[in-house]
Amino acid sequence: MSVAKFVIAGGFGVGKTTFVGTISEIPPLTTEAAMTSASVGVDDRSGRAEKRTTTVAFDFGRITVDDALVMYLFGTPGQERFGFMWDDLATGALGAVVLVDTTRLAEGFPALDFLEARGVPYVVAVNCFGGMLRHPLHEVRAALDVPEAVPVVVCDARERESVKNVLLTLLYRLAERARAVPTTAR
Amino acid sequence: MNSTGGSGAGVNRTGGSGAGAPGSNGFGDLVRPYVITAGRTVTRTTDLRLETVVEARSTTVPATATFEHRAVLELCSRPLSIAEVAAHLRVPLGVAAILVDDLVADDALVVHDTEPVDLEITALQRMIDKVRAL
Repeated sequence: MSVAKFVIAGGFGVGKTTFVGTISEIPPLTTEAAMTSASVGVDDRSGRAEKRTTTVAFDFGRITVDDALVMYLFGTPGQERFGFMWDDLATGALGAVVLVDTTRLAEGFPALDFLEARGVPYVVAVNCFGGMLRHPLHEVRAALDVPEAVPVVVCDARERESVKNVLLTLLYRLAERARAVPTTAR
Repeated sequence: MNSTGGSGAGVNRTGGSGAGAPGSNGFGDLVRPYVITAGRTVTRTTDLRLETVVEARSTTVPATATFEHRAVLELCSRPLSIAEVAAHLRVPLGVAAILVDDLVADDALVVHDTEPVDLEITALQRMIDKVRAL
């Protein structure tokens, strides 16, 4: 059994869990990782700066392709302060979807920066609740300042066909890259 | 989010996955997760990742297996990722990894292909076909 790992990234409340749940063959599962000193001071709203342990939860889903291949879709924790978890999530990831909300575009920046820095191929999906896009896609692209090669698509995370379309856009992009890069160049 | 020390309370969170009542792991609510692992926080097998898939080798249970190990073996009668094991047992990822690690060391669990699928066109095509058909 081989694993194909994907990351669903984006700001808090942008629809990552919904996205995963719409396409996953299992209801999205939640698990947690412990966070210790890395967050000290950052995670603290009360002004107490004692060392402490807290946890960060993330959701994920699964698509079994066949007997030998399974896809896992891992949603990133929403807040920037959980960035430490992103390394574990991004390591070995084939590709990513960055979900953005046009009313809070800036919340997508940390995910975009991280994926760019890590060289993880991604597509941007503008989650439009109700399918109403407030700004033309080219304006969204300009505002996000993503490279020309990165697809930017509209989606409704609640609609299966729409989520399928986003995943397929990502998979096509990966396929294009696979054809362009000889396997010996790994 | 919890503010008290110890990751144990972390299983008791709101907004969960609907996989059951929050806070009710199978090990009793008062058991701190790293008690389950006898205080260990580091795995011996370094290539265990959250997406690593493991499967029970047989129905044989090692003599040293604890209640929690048995629970993992039962779950892994089919191939499951460590993230799934953690979610089903309601323990943090690190705890699940250590339980799995013990069972791998005991030869009770097999680790499936740990190499992530690379950009192989055949694998991608299988994924494309699958997603299209969903």
